[in-house]
Amino acid sequence: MDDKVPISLVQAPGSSGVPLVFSIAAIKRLRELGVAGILTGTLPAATQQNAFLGIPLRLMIEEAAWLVEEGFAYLVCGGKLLEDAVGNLGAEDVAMMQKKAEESFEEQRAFKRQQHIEKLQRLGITKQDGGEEDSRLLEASLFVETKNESTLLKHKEAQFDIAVLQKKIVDNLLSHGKNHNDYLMYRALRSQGYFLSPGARFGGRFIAYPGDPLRYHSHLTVQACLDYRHEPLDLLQLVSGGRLGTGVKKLWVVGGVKDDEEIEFFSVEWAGFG
Amino acid sequence: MNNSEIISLVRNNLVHQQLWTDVDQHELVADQLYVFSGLPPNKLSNDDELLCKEWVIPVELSQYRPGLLTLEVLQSIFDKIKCKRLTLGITNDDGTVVYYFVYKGLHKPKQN
Repeated sequence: MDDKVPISLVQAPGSSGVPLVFSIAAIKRLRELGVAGILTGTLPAATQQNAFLGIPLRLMIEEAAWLVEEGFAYLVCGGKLLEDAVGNLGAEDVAMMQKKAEESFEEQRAFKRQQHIEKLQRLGITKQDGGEEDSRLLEASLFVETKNESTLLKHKEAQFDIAVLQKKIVDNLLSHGKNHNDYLMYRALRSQGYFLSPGARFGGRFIAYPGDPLRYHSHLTVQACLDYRHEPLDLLQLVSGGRLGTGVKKLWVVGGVKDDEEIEFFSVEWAGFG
Repeated sequence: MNNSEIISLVRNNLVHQQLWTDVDQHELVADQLYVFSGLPPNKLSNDDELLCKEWVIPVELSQYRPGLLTLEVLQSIFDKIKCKRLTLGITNDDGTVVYYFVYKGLHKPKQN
C-alpha cells in the first residue's frame, strides 16, 4: 500500500481553497488512481506558454474530496501549516539550513576549481591563481537549488491526516461548490472507470474519458447535476450541447440524483436528421 | 404536453419531410404524453444492425415557460416503452423540428 498523498489546500481568506499537489511522485500516484488533474505551473521566464505546464497540479474539488473519501489522500491547509512551521522555527533550525547550504556551496567550489585546473592543463596554460577576479567569478557561478518541496513543511503535513479533521475540511470544500450533487455524479462516473476533467472546454461540468486522457479521446460532456424529479431539461441547452457534441464526437450527458443517492444518467446526441 | 399543435407538426414533419412510414400515435396515459412510432427510410445510426422501429416524443422548445420534461418523466417513458433509445422531436414556434436521440445511461458516441 502506497503512502497517502498530501494535497495542499491553498486558501484565500473566506474561500474554501484550491487543492494543489506539488510532488511529482504524488502526481504520478494520482494518475495511477485515475485522477489526472490539470498542471498549472509555469516558468517565470515563459509565462505565456501554456502547452507544457508543470507542477503544481490543480485538482477539482470533487477530485480532492473523492481522494480523501477513498483514503488515498489527505488535505493540508496551507496557511495554518505555514504558520505552525514558521512559528516554531528556532535559531538552531536556521543555523542548520545555513550549514547545509554552505556545504553545497563548498562542494561546488571544489568541483569547479578542479575543472578549471584541468581545463588550463588541457590548453597548456600554466597560469596559477587568478586572484580576486577568479574567486569573484567562482562565487557568482554557484548554483542555489530551489527545491520543489519544502523540507520544513514535509514532516508537519502528516499531522493533518486525522479522519475527523479531514471530514470537516472536505465538507467545507464541497459546501462552497455550486452543486453538492455534482460530487455524487463525479463519484458515480469514477466508479464506472471514467477519467474526469473540468468541462468548460465543451460547455459542461465535466468531460469524461474512457481511460487516461493521454490515450483516449473523451466520450462525454457531462452537465451539472439536475434535480431528478423537479428540474425540467432546458431544451435550448440540450440542442446547443447536443449539436456541439456531434461536432466533437461527444455525447451530451445529463444526470440526476434519485432518492437513494443513485444517479440516473441519460445520453443525448443529434439524431442525424432534422 | 398534451398539445395537438406540436403533435401534428411533428407528425407532418416525420411523414412528409423525413419520409417515415407506419407512423402511429400512442398515448402514455399517466403522463398525458404522446409518442410516435415509425420506420425511417434508412438506418439512423451505423451502430444499428438493421432498420428498426423508432420512438419519437414531440416536445416544445419553450423559451419563456419551464418545460415539463424532467429526468423522472424520461425514465418513466423508458420504463413503459422498453426501447433502446428515444428520439426527441423538438419543435420551435417557427415550425422547425429537430431530432435528438436520448439513451438511458452512459452511451458511446456513434460511429460515422
